[in-house]
Amino acid sequence: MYVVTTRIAAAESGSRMSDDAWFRDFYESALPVVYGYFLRRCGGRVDVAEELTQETFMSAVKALRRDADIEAPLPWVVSIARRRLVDHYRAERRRRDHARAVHVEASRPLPDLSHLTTTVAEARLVAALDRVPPAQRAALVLRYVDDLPVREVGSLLDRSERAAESLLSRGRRSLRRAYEEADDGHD
Amino acid sequence: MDTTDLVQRLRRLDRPAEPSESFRNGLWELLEAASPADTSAVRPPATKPGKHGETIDVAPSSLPLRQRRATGIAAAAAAFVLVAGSGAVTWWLSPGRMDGATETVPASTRPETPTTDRPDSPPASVAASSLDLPPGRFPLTATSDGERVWVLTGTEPQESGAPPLGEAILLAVDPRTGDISVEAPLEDSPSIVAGDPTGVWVAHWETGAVTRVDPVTGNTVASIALELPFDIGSGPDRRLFIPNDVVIGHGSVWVSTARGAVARIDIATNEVSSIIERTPALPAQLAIGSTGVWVAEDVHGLTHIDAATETVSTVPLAELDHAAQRVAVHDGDVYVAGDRLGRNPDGSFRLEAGGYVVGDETAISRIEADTRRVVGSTVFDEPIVFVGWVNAFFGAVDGSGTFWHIGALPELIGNTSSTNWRNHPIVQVGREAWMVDTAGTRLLRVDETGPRPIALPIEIAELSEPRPVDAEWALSRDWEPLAAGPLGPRWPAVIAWTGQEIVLWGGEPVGGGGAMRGGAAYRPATNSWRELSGGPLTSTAEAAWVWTDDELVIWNDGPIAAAWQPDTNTWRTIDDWPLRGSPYRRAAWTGEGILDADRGLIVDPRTGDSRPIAEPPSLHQRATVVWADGDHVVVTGDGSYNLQADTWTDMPPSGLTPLATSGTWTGIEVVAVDYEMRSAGYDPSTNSWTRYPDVPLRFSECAPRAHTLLGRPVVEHCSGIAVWDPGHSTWIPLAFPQPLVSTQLISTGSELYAWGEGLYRLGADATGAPLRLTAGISLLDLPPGWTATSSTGGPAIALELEAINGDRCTVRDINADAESVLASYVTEPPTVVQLAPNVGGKPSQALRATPGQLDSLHHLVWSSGTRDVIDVACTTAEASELIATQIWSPYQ
Repeated sequence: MYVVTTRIAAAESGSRMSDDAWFRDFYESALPVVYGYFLRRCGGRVDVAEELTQETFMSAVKALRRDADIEAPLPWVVSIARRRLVDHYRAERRRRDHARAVHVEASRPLPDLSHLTTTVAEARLVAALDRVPPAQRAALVLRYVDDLPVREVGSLLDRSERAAESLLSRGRRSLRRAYEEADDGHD
Repeated sequence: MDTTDLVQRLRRLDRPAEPSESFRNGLWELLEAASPADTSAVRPPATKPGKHGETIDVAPSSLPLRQRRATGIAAAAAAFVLVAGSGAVTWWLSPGRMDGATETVPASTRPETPTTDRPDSPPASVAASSLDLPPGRFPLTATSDGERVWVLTGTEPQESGAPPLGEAILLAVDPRTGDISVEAPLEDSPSIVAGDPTGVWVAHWETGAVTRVDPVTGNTVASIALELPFDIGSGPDRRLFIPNDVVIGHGSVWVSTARGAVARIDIATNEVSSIIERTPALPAQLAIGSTGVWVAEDVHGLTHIDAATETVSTVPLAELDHAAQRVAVHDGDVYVAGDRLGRNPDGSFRLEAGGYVVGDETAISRIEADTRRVVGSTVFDEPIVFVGWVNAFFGAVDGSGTFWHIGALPELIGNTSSTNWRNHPIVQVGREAWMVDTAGTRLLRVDETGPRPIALPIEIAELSEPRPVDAEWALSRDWEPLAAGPLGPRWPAVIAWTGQEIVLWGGEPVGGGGAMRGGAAYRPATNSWRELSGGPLTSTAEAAWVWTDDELVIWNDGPIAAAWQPDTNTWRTIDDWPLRGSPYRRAAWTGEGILDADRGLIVDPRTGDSRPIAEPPSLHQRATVVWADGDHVVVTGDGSYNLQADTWTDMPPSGLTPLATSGTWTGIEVVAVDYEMRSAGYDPSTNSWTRYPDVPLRFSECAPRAHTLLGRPVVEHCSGIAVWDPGHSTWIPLAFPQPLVSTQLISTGSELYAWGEGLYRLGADATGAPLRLTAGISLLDLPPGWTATSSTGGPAIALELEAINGDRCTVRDINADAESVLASYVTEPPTVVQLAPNVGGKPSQALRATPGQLDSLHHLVWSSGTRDVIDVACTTAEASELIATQIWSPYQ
């Protein structure tokens, strides 16, 4: 589902972790994928996407030092990104749980996605997604954006498959409500 | 747009995006520094060079080592960083040292910083103000002598937290003007500073010495050599005292080292008075307490050294339940923060490769200084990077930049969204926290308000005042039937708690049919009833009442009120009652009189005399008057009345409908709930609302009532009962073994009673009840294209469903406790569903839901039992799976 460039494919075929040129190629091709992965999953917030992208690549470099024989670097780095995203959602959930301040989130304006080639509808969707409670959002993203099976969604979120389905069910409802609210406020 | 379309759009969100060039290049620089090809850059700095080229074993092999995790405090404490709050310098325990082996590096090699912790400039948003240093002066750490900020600087940026690069200079800076009054050059790798009005003390990393700097002249007035009282290794530095932290208190300067000692220097003589041997541990951070000094010893727990006797006592890891990495003292208590550690199934701490396994969370514990008892703790997802004072508020800063205030209201929390909180040390300067911009030439004062203020974290509040009510407590309790009394079922009755008895009076038969006479009182202490004597008042269904601390005053639309006196079981008639016809929700006992918000009167119940108050706002129907904090009477949704000032204050919008809104005073706020099950908390001192999650009870055309149990709000509604669970910031529905439409609750503050077909008390332990699906409610969301076509009543519910494509399903809820099942059935399918609670086959009051409410929530399966089995049988396996996965419980 990700756009894999021929450059990445070439890099994968001849991967040498100690090869500077290979690493540069890998970085150039994987960066937009990882950055794009975070950007639309985090309400279009550039600062968050940049932070998570940085953490992902740092983790990747550390791991590459340990294991220079990663067979498919791009899916692998996306899997690292996914774990970072789940961690981010967890942290956000905890903050929101503490805060009990749902109304604060509701007042957030549509994200500025002018730096992306996108549509108003997509901006609304990203904004709506960002207003969904973090646990539900995590489930929605993993299931529908990352296209993971429900069982795997549950595993990533430390929930049973049934509980993940429940989360998805509520997430869909929350997303629709949030999207309608975004529509109400901007049509 | 329907949900299916939204899901399809979600699938299209996954596209690459180009970051900014500056980010692309900046990240590449970071990666390049740690690139796989650059082995020197990625080597973990497990050792430091000695003066003579030998290596120094910083962490003795006997040290119980810890596994690191990708993020967390360990990351914050990465190689050679400052231990925030005290300015201590410590080494990083690298993954390569997990086996305790000693690595060696060439003497010329300076320890490298793990690239993940390489700082860049902190955002300006962290600071209310900044303290700019002269160009070319790069700060490393700071302290305060009470007036000035003393900043240890180098002439080159030192991002790793190592001693200053280039020329080391100690600057005394006026935090208000930025004026520098002292510039003191220092030698021998100064690394930590601590100050008080008597002077500034500097610990030197390379020599282990501590120097005393005159606060006026900046001259070094004393240099005190420190040495370990034991050997580590056999090299020339085997007794080198590498300082980790310095604090001043009890007439001494205390210096810790992770090599296993705390040195004490007598301020009067500038001499070492003692060296207390300790377990080698990072970070060895220190905090001065009322009787001695506290030492955070990581996985060895928290240690106290008594200043008078130098006896040592430790709060062990097992009691803390987390490592001790940061410590601070506030208001006589000790706050210690650290990583939570992994546990085995038997509860023991998990060890791998000889080290503790660090969990995904961190925690802060509060410890009573006198008893060493852990009295509370709270868990965080983020690492704690600082514990101490932030702009005169005591609390903690986590790795995301969120400030958690610990203490009494008002609570202020800031979230700066900084990406760099883990990379820049935060030091305590008086009651302010300053972030040291080690990449720049400034210090930033941390501002707790930040650009995105949020509300009080509940779990921190529990540190100060642990509460017994939580989900586990609520769900492990059951309703206990109490002694049968002289009264038959009646609703709505006058129900009041006198402090000794629950009094019931009047009401109507369930289902209507005229007023019921008489009343009775139940005494929990003896589980017994007594009948009330006959009174002067004729019972009606719409009686109002107030307990005045010694009498129960009841009135209705007649000209008199009746006051029942429990001591004598007699009634007193109050003639010419000015509050006739007022609904009971509008009256509140203020301690001196009965306030009627509707009419703007305060009535003396002893005489029936009244006096007016300020003109009240127009009140909505069924809004509740709540006596709040001693001064305020809150009319939920309408306004707040200050008794002392005799003024009304308009409320900001609560987000709740003012119609049929009930409230209860919890001791902190008025928690209100409306009949659409929205909830919010109102703080009369700030005249502000905080929205809570919706109460997970079904909408019904009846008014809710709010109560307070053990400081937690409880919502009573004809469709259910729910209690607030602060631990999870959610409402927990409680099962109840009766039709709730004819039930009334009464809270004594510590116990909850329910009057319906008898009197029940919540509190008995449930026996062997699993938590799953025991909470009394399961919900079935019908997928798009499905409708409910029919349903049959209990004890086993059978619900028939049909899809547009012809698939059909039967959903059965079979409960072993048949008497408690509330059945449902569908009429006028598919647009109107009528839910009818049944008990043992006896139909009760029907509740009607409108099509609008059936948008996604089509069917409700009610159960108070603990052994629900929900069976789904469909014409296709795919349909079975689809429907089964749409059934959920709020507790999962």
